[in-house]
Amino acid sequence: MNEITTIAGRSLWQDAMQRLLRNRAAMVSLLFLVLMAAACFLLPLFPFIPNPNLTDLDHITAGSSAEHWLGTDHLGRDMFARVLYGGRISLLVGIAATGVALVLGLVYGLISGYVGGRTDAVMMRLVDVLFALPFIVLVIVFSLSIEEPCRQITDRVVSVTGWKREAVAPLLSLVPLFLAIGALGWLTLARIVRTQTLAIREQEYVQAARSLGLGHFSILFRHIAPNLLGTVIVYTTLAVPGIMLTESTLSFIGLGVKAPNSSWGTLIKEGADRMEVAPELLVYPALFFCLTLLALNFLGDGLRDALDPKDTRK
Amino acid sequence: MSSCTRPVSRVRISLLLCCCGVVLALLQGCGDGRSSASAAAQAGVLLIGNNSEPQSLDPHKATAVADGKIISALLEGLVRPDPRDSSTLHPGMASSWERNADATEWIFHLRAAKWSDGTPVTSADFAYAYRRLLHPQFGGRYAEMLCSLKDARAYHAGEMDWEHVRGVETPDARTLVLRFETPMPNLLSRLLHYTWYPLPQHHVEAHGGMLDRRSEWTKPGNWVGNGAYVLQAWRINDFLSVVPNPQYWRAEAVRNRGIRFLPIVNGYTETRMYFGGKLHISNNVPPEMMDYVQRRAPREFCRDAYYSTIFYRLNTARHPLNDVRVRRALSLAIDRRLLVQRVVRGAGVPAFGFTPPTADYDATYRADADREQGEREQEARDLLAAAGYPDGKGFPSLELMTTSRDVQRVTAESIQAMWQKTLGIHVEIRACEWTAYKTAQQSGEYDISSSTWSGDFADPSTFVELWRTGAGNNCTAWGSEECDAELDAAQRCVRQDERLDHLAAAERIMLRQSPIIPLYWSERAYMKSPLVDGWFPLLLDNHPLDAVGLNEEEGQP
Repeated sequence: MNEITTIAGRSLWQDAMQRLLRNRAAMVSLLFLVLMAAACFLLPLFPFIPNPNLTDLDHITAGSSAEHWLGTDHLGRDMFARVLYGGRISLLVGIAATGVALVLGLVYGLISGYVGGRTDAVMMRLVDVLFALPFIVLVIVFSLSIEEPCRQITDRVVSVTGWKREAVAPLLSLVPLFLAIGALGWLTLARIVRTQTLAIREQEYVQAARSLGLGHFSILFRHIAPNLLGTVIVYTTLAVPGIMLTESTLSFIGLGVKAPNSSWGTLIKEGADRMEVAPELLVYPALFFCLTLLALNFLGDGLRDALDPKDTRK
Repeated sequence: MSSCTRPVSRVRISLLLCCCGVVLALLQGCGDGRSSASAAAQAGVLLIGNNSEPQSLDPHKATAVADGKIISALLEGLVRPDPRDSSTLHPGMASSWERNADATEWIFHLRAAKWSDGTPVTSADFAYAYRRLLHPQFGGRYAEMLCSLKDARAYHAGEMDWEHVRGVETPDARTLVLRFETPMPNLLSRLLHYTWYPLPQHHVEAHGGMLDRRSEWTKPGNWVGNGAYVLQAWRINDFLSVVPNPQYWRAEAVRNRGIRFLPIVNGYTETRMYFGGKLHISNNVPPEMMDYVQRRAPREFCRDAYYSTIFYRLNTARHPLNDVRVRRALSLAIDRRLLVQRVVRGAGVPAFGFTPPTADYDATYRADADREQGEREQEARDLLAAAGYPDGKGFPSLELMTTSRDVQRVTAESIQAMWQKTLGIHVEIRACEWTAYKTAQQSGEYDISSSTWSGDFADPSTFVELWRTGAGNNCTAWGSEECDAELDAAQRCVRQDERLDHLAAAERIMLRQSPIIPLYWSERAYMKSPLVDGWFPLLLDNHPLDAVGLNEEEGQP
């Protein structure tokens, strides 16, 4: 093996890719996630997946059949379609909220770490204060307080574009949710980014860039940010499951997605209520949810191993 | 960070397995024994599921069924209910009474009873309570209950001083005279309701006075009452406990040594808690669990007839619900038979009227009830088109507000789908926590509100009087002079059949205007432990809890 690797020089990224490809758990997880995302986002486009909100009160909690692959729920809605649409919303919220947290945390941490001094102290104390407040309570308060403005925006969108309300409303009703989770979920990332920035800004190449007269902006985004990428990627992958879990917690206590739409969280809640009567209503969404969370965790672990330059294992 | 990567993954997995183990262990735990219920039974403490956290223990502020159950244990009126039969009454604070020939004047002779702080209960305490509820500045939701008293309506409207009100008179401390505008032959059954209970005047005055709505006289530690129990502790979202009142005039007849009311909104959770031995009597079994419960514990599963209606309030002050055609369309588009069969699983009767039909009263809206669902849906579509929304086009966004109760949510979801399918309109469902729901409903901050009304006494007027213009529990902003006139006419009647005819006429006027959508007349499905003794099915669900005893061991069948 050594013979091959010594022939050509490889960048750290190529190294990392090699390590990742060799990590079987991470690759299987990645494949699973791609398949799951494809199923959730693409499958419902095909006509053989029924409308997930179409009730059929004459066929309630029916078992699997050719028509309903995973059977129907307590209102006769197709379970497979509901799990797919639920996955859509859960994944969407997970990704969108992480995106919001990522942008906020990255910018905040970069500024705090790069500027340093008193600014840093103030900014980090603010993070400490926010950390001290109970996260779920904050998210609840925040999402409730931006609910009404979001509703007005929905009304505006519907009246201006003339789109169907039931098509727009479920998506727009998610906005307060991921804004709230994202807006409060950036704290850890901000800290990590700040610490890394503190270390990187003292590196010789940053000092060189500075002595060459490069502006702060260029230094931040051309020299410091790219070097944070590894850490950020790992953190993001590991944050998505946490955020999806928060979404399902909120949905579980009735603050997330509005009926009749569902996320995995609401499906699990509905299933948990009926577990003596119709256990499959709990099992299917829980299975999909758990596997996705596991896969994301494995992938995150794999990425961390791969992107760690000090890792000597080949 | 570098060397211990694989083991971390393993740690994650093992953590996960641990979690699964814990969950399994918890599930297992649910099955074993009836520890806390049987321990409580040995201590003589009754554990009752009571739906939601009470809004208030002040009888003049409470409107919910859950509040009423606690208040009835803490305070006693002139008469008290019978454990076996909703229509039988026993002397309570009044030891005897007499009435004049046309039942417009009643004289009650009070017994020598004491408040829990030792002060005697006097007729002035009753007069004080009635004055407080009727006070124009107090804003009592249930003031309507007392408006049959002579001059009470004028006093409530602020047009008369209390000194001139002829409805309530206290010749001496032990005599209470009640006079009515109209004959009240069935007054006694109404007196069971907590709006007719006395208040400890001296105590309320000591805690902020008559009109202080934030008064703390009902807080644990402050509580003074004349009922079988006194308030012991109230832990929000945990329990509210009461213990026997040593000053109660029948203290020796109280069959248990305390009651704990547990506010459990989720019927599934409650039923599981029952099977986990945490409750003696539960409040409700969700429809979807009934088959399972029937199989698992047929002898403990109770399904009682109940004087109660499940319906939707429509906020007629808001566009487009101010259009009667829209309201009728929403009502006609609902397939009640399917709803009752599949969603409520037979625990009710499809309703095309508001008041549950009884032997002598039935105001079912025949024009709706006697048609096929297909015809009703066709008319619903026609009405909606006539109102300017053909196939639901351009119909504004409406919000359907429910409590977080499972049955209500599932009902709402199925009706949401029916409206979508039949009328092409989309409504949003908002499930609210109980207090938020009550507040929104009472302040008119809703479009459509999923509601329940349970009879306070065994007479249709407990339902129909709700729809008087501006009545405290109307909450739909709807009112009609025609309907009010029929209600007034009913109050003036001496003959029972004529009175019921007027009530039915009033109800039909209301139904034609549809400020509400009746869904079904529900029954009460709940669990009752074999340890419980002295609990019988009651149409009004007004069980005198002091008559409920507990066996230490399960009784032999």
